[in-house]
Amino acid sequence: MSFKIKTILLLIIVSLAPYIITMIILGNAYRSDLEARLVSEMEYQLDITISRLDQSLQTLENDLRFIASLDIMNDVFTSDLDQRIFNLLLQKKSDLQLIGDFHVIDNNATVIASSNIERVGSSSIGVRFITIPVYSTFDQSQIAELVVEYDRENLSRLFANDEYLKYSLLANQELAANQYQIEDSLRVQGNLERRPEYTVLLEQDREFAFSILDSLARSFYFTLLIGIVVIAGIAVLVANYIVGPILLLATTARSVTNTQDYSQRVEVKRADEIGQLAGAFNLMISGIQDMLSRLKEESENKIKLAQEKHRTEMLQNLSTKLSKYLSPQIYESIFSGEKDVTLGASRKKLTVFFSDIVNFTSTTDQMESEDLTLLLNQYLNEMTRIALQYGATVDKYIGDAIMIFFGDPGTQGVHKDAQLCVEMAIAMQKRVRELRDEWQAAGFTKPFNIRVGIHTGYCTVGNFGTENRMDYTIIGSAVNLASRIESSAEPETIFISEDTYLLVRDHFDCLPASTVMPKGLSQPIQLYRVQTEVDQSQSTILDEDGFHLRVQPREINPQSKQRIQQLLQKLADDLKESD
Amino acid sequence: MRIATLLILLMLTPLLYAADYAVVVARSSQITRLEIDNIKDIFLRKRNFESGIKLVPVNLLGDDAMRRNFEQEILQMDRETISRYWVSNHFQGISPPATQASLLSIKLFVERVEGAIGYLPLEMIDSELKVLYEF
Repeated sequence: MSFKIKTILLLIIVSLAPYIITMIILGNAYRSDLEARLVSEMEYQLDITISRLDQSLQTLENDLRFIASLDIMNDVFTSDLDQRIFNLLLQKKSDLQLIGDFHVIDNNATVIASSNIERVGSSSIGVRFITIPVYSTFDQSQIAELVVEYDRENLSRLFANDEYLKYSLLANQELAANQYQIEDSLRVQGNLERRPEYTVLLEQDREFAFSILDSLARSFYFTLLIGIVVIAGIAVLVANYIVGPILLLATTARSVTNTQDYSQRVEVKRADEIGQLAGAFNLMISGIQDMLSRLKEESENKIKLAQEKHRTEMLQNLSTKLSKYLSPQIYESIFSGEKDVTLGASRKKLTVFFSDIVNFTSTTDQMESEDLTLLLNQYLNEMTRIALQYGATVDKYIGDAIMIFFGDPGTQGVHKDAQLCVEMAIAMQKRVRELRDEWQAAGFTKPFNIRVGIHTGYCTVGNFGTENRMDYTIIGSAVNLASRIESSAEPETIFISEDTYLLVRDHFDCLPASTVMPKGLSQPIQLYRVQTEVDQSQSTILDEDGFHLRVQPREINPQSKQRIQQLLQKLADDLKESD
Repeated sequence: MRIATLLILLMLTPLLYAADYAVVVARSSQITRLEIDNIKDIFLRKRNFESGIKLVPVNLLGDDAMRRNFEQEILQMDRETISRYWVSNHFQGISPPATQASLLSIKLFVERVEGAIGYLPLEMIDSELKVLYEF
């Protein structure tokens, strides 16, 4: 059952219940009281009627007494010879419209005078209803009796009977025989005061008596019906007034749920609780709408952030990968924003380094591709690590050759850059020697030797290429010269140009080496060979079949010396014994 | 003389009519003779007893000539005087005499009522009655 129906029923019940209860109570009370009231009213009417009858009887008696007291009654002595009494009685009968007769009876019980002339002389009469003694006017002796024969109709004709209200004048014995005129009736009775043997019975038809109640009941039911209709109508209006906005709220809520359109609002312009509910609902929807908007915005932002993060991570991964192809200095300069990735260049004085593996092609032809890759990668990796350790910019790898320069993008000054470049070259040579031992231990029979060329001069450094594809590199004659110097260098040596030499000679021992004629120059350039630690300490090198000996006295610590002596002594002894 | 003669004639006139009527009682009555004054007193209810008997005067009803004659001869009062008399005596509880509508009823009344006294023409008087006074 819907709330609306419940509301309507509740309103009808609440509205009509007091009315119905009141009407039922009043109806019952009235019904129970009505009979008493009717009986009371009947008793009152009966009293009046009885009073009238008694009064009538009294009047009759008074009349009789008056007649009896008249002088004319003295005519009794003359047997009403002149019929004066007769005329008087006849006149009185006529005046009273008496149903019955007056008789004057003398002391001998003979009718002397009568309103019925035929009864004169008779000695018997009917029922004496009233008997009044007649006295002579002169000696007050009773000379006769004035008697009235009286029909009950004389009284009953005074009754105001109608169809529903009937009076009866009954003798007591008749009353005992239940001689009622109306079978189902309200009855009241009373005795005549003057004639107690007679009872006046008043009957009122019960159906008629209560017809007013039935009429009232009909009015009540009609009013109730009208009331139900009116109240039902009002209840429907009130229910619509109450439930309508709620249904609108429910409809809107469902619509919002189905359509997810949170811009919908409930139009209830009322200041009461329902209006407040609608306002709160609108406020809630508005809040949800705002929240959803914020959530959507935040979600979009999160997606953007995620995309951005993904892109950043991708860029980071990409940049990390790209960084492998770039010198860390270049990478950091670009990614720190110090350098724009735009085409452009500048001239700087740089120290340019070239190295390559001596006889790389002939050496590697006999190697398996996997081994070559392993060796070359390890070599390049180690060299690059050293270069980066010294702050160099690794320009590019050209097969087995490495091009490195100092002075851009970071520089510690031309002198220091040249010094660091030479130190790096020495460290690389040292590391190559160490690697050579490891490779030999690993089974590679022809290890690498590298040669290094270094020149310091002005170069054009920057991004070269197109907007879509560019390289950060250096170009210029100094680069070519450095390459030439490297080509001129002997295996396991470091050749530097004179320009470099002048910058580092205070720090390294250098010996004049060959000269080189660069293209486009008329004068040869003097090259210098940097004296490495090997050059200075390597006293003996023996490389024979079945015997390899390399001694680096500086690196032999005191604890090892004795064991080396013992080993060499034992080797000499063994060789001698084998001969 | 002429006046005296007239007076005598006037005085003799009642005598000329006196023999027509008589005041009567029942034969059985103890009353034998009454004077005119006595009769007057009786009919004016000034005298109610005679010889130890309560007297019941009875008058002829109405304006009969005989009654007028009786009032004139016996009571010696005209009708108006009589009426005033009874009105004044009514308040003292004294009522006029009983009446009868006819001479016959007066005769019967006198005969049947003890102490009754009335007046009748002489020709109606029979043996049942006793004449007390003629006029």
